[in-house]
Amino acid sequence: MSSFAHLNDAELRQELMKMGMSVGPITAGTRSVYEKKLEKLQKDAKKSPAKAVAAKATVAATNATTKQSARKTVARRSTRARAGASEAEISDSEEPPQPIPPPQRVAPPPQRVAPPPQRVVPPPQRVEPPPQPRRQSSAKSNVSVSSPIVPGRANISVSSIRAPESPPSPRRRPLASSIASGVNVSPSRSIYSRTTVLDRDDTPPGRDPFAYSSAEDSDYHYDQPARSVVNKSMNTSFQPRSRRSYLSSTTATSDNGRPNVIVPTARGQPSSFQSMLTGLNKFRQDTFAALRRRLSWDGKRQKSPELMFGSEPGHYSIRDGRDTMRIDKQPSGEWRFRGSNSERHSSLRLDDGFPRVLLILLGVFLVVLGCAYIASAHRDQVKHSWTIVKDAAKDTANFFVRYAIIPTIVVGLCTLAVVGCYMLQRYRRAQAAAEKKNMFDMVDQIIDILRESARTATNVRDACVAVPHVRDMLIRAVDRKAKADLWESAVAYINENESRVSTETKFVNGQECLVWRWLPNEDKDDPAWQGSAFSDAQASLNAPREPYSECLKLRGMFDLSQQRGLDWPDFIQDALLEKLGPGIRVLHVAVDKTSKEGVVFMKLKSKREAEDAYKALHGSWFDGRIVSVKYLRSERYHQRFPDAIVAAYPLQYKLTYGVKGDDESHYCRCRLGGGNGSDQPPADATEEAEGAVKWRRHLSLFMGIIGGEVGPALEPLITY
Amino acid sequence: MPTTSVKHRDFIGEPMGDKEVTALAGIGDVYGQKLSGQGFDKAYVVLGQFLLLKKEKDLFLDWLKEVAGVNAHNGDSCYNCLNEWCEQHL
Repeated sequence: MSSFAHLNDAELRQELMKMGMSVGPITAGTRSVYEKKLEKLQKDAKKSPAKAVAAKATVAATNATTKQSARKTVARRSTRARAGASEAEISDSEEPPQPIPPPQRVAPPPQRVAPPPQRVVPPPQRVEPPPQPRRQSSAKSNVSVSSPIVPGRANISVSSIRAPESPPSPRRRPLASSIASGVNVSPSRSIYSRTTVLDRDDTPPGRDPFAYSSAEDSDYHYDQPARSVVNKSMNTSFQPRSRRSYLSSTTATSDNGRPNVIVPTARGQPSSFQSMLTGLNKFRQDTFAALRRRLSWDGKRQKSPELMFGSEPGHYSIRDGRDTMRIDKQPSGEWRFRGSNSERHSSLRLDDGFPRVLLILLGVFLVVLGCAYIASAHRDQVKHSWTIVKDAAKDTANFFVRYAIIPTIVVGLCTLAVVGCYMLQRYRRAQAAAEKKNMFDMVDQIIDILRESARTATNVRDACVAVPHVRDMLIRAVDRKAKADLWESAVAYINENESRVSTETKFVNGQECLVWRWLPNEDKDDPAWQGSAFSDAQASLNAPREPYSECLKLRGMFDLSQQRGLDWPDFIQDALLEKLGPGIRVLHVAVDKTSKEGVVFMKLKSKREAEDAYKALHGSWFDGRIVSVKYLRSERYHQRFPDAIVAAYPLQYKLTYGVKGDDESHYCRCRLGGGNGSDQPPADATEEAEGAVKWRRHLSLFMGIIGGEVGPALEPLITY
Repeated sequence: MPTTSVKHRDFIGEPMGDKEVTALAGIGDVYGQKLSGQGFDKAYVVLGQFLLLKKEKDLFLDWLKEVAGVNAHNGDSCYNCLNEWCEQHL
């Protein structure tokens, strides 16, 4: 740590990155850790540089960054140098010696130009079937190197980026140089080319069976039986060379840690390439194993398959005669093989070999298994949870019943009860009202019948109706039972409350029964003043300002058709006196018994009293008729009623209720009332009148005893 | 894979929220006190350091050792704990 104290954060980071680390932010909290790490890394590097470098290179390969590639290259180079293996003969001076493969192979691989499919591959010049140590060529930057391994055999031209290094492998590698990069062709190479051309005249020289873009350069390194020549434009062409001798696939690992995969065909026409991607090695092996399986090249064909790399990474096509097989690297990481010629269409999915149905079945099985496990291993818990679920359901139901349903029912019932009570009450009340109304109707009908019978009766004695008879008149036979209650109540009401009807027991046809008798007089006896039609102010308005005379004419006091009996004019006079009261002295009253208007004439003591009488009587209701009053000229009055001239005493009641029917007193009263002009102080009270009557009675009695006669001589005595 | 501890499972199962540093697997009371003394009192502070070190195991272990003297075994469980938490919740 202290050894790196002089570095600042950025430098420390730089150092670490140089060591191939992926460095996070260097802060006060992380710095010490990173310093330690750097120290450790450096120590490791010193201890076993090769290993460290190899490890670094691995990391770098995984990360696949260009920088790391560059570093790798350097490291590789140094490693190679240190290793000092038997590799020799690299013409490049910078290159460490590399093992020179024995020049056994003479047969130059045929050179192909990529696109045309009619390339003929047979390597006719295979001389030595046994594998030979492979000559490896390294590439240096931008230096086109031709390293004549064996004169006339191979030429290597390597670009800077491509640094294919293969360990010695038991394979000879005929080199092919691309014609296109003519610059790089060494003499020996050209010779070789020439031989190739000579050998296989059907193969156009310089064809690139493997052509891939430079973008792939850092990613892939293909170790071919044929050497590739990379020209300056970074186009690389590979030519696979098939050798009959390569009967087995070999995997070799180069000293830089990258394995070579060599996949020869069954017929010994290997199409092998070396991957630079360590991570993809296994993958590739699988791929090619599958490829080999699929491409069952028959031995008779003397063509080696041709591998073509498309313009995009991950696409290859292999050509073998008319058959073309495309290898695509799917984004998902699968490799897909497609044969174009025959029914070799197949898809090899390397990551999932199971059909979907199988997977689903497996999943279902696992789920069932899990359930079974839980059910068996945690039986108690399962039971417990089941009881919990049951209890919860029960509680929920209880809750709803207790807090939702029952209260609703209760409230509903209460509401129903209240509403029902109310309706019942209303119904009963209506019923009672209807009954009462019916009863009163019945009562009215009964009274009508009684009144009618009383009116039509000629004899007062007969003016009575049997109760059952009334019932039979009012209620039809079918309703009698149903309306018995109504009838009873009506009868009871009449008996108790109707004063105009008296109930008697009478023998009708020898049978005792109840009868109703209408008492006709009772409602005619009352004077029946019924109030005034006008208010006082109106009455005074209607009245003349000054009383014209003391004589009045009243209209509407009676109806001739309705008057019964003989003494009705006396009733009317009494009613008038009663109405006017003692303050207004009436001297003369005359009832026009022939008038249809009910005219009554009246003379009062003075004009003032006439005015008061006018006001009191005008507009009054009397027995259902309105009374109208007007002044009469006294001359006219006196002309019509001459006896009124001398009338000086106010009139008294003609009929006194208490002495009704008493002929004597009636006579006396009449006589006295119609007084002969004696100026008697008015007797304004009934008691006074009574007293006068008594006095007169005693006096007459006395006179009868003495044999005298009550005459005008005794008049003063009689009055007082 | 070795079975995980209760602490580990508890920590992984939910967001760490305001959990104390001792909620981390492999960090007991003693380590927790030491870490708290250095300011790493909450689990999320340790997570911050863990992320600063880019989730690298050896770096994190080194750091734990340096800060609190956490031994390899406990550091390992702490690392696993945080790593799995990150896988699940980040």
